[in-house]
Amino acid sequence: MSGGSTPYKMISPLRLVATFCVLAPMVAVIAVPTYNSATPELGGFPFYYWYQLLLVVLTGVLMVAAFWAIRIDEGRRRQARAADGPSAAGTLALDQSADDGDTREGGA
Amino acid sequence: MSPHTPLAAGSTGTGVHGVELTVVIVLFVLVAGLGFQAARWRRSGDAAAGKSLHEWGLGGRSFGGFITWFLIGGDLYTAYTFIAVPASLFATGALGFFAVGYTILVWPLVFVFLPRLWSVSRKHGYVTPADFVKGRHGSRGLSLAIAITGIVATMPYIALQLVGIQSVLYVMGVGSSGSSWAQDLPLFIAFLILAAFTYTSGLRAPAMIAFVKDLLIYVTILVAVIYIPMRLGGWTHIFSAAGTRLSTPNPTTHLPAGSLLLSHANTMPFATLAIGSAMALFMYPHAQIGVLSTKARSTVRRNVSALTVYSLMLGFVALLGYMAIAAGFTTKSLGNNAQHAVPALFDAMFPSWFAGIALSAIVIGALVPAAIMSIAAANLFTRNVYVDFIKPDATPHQQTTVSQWVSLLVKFGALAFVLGLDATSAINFQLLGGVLILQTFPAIVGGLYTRYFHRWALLAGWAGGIGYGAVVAWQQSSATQHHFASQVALIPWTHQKAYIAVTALVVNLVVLVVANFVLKAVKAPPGVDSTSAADYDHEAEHAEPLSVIAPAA
Repeated sequence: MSGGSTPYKMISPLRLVATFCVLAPMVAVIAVPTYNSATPELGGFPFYYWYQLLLVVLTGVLMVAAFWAIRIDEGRRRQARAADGPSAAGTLALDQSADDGDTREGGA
Repeated sequence: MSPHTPLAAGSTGTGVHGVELTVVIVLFVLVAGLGFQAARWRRSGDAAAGKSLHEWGLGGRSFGGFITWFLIGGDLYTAYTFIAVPASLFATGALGFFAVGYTILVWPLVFVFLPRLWSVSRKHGYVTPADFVKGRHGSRGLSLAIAITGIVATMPYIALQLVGIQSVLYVMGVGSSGSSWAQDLPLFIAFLILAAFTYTSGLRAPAMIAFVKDLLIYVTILVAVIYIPMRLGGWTHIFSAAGTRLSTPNPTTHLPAGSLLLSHANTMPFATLAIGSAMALFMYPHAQIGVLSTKARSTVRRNVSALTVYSLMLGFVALLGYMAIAAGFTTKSLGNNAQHAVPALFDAMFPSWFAGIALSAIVIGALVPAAIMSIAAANLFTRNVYVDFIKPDATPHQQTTVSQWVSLLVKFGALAFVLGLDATSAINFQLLGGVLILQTFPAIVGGLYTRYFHRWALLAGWAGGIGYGAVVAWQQSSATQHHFASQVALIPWTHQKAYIAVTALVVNLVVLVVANFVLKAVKAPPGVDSTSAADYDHEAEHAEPLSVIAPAA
């Protein structure tokens, strides 16, 4: 993984998307006064309770988005690196085989 | 509030609940069998590798996404969470719901820093976070401080798993038969079996049992959140019953116990408890072990979104506390212990065969984290105390043997803790553990990103944070307790309360910055960093030679 650290210093739109996905739930939880309220109620749940449960689900969705943003971004960086020189191409093979192993595992 | 008289009978413990006990015993035996069986599961064929600490203590670092999901869930979702989080809502209302905010915050944090820890640990063969600290900062002293903090914080956590089992036994009428010897015998047997299969199977045992545990817990929670509100007259009734009870002033203090919403004074404690607990969770060695045992860097991030399912479940588990209020339980009818709320609720609401399954979920839910925690504590001792300070030339096989014995020692220490002291002390020490473990954050997470801070400054900050946190936690008193009565305390020079661990972390960081400035000024030796920038993005190694493939278009 030589050269693995250099591309990380660059900012790309996908990285900004991932950053947003990671920061948004944190900000939402810390902003306690925005949800410390009994109304509007939903199915008998005061707002305070159903909003936080909803926030859990939204966090899950944002984490999926962040995962894919990072994944696509890293793929592009690898291609850019591979285009720079053949020495960097080994990285691609390595990353792919790691992912394959993981997928097989998931089905077990 | 509907007075369910038979409910109260369940918690006075006048008889053993035969059906429930039978179901619990059958499931326990099944799970114990799995635990022993696990030793042969996904075993590496290489006999020499089979004896290394990576095998026993990290399951051969072979776990993929599916198993990791269960294993990390096993850390987050302990028997104690099952008992304590609802008990906290039962007793204080909205503040107890910080557990949901905490589990929301955990995942973005994990997403950001754990892949880096995974990479550098894989590259250098680190088994524990203290291994990483030693390699990064070149300081055995700092590494020892991290290791001891981890062990000290983990022990009472294991003890609390026993407290969870105890409250189940109490509700089933086993733990209240008068004789204290008979009361403790089932707990002793359960832990003997746990100790035995952890010894033989290592991390594979809890990984395998985690499947059964989660299945039982999901079934229980799904049924509980649908069936119990139906019996209690719906969610509207549950929340209004809880609101009424929480706002009723306590006859002795003339203050309400809590409220359905956060009071102004509780906003800061809520936020700091959520942030502090989230930052602390993955400083616990048992939480990191689930991450370090995965076989690919992407496994962790891929899993984070699926892991939020646990957080959602935790939210509903928390609300069981309000259901217990609506079912007519009071602290008094629970034997003056709010921790019995959930087992007693299950016992009262479900037909006895399903109550048996639900209570088994709690008992088995105690075994998985207790096993993982004892393995994590044992790894810390072996790597960062035994190898670093006692026997530097220990072979991998010797390291594994030491870890196995320490895991036994740690568990029986926890057992002695629970039997010798009361459950309240175990809870107090666990609260203190949270304060202590957060003080390792700058050295571990800070170290993942920068080496700007001097190793001795990190050590000074750690000492400052721990000193402040321990003293302040000890000073907290209430009407019923002289020490450790609260997790929140006034921030110095203000009238605002906050989670002690977070205030202590601020003290830690202030000391760190000042000490760093001084140490840099006097040019203290910075120590050797054995990691390089690229190690933090490192992917998996492969046994087979890598072929160079042309990049796909």
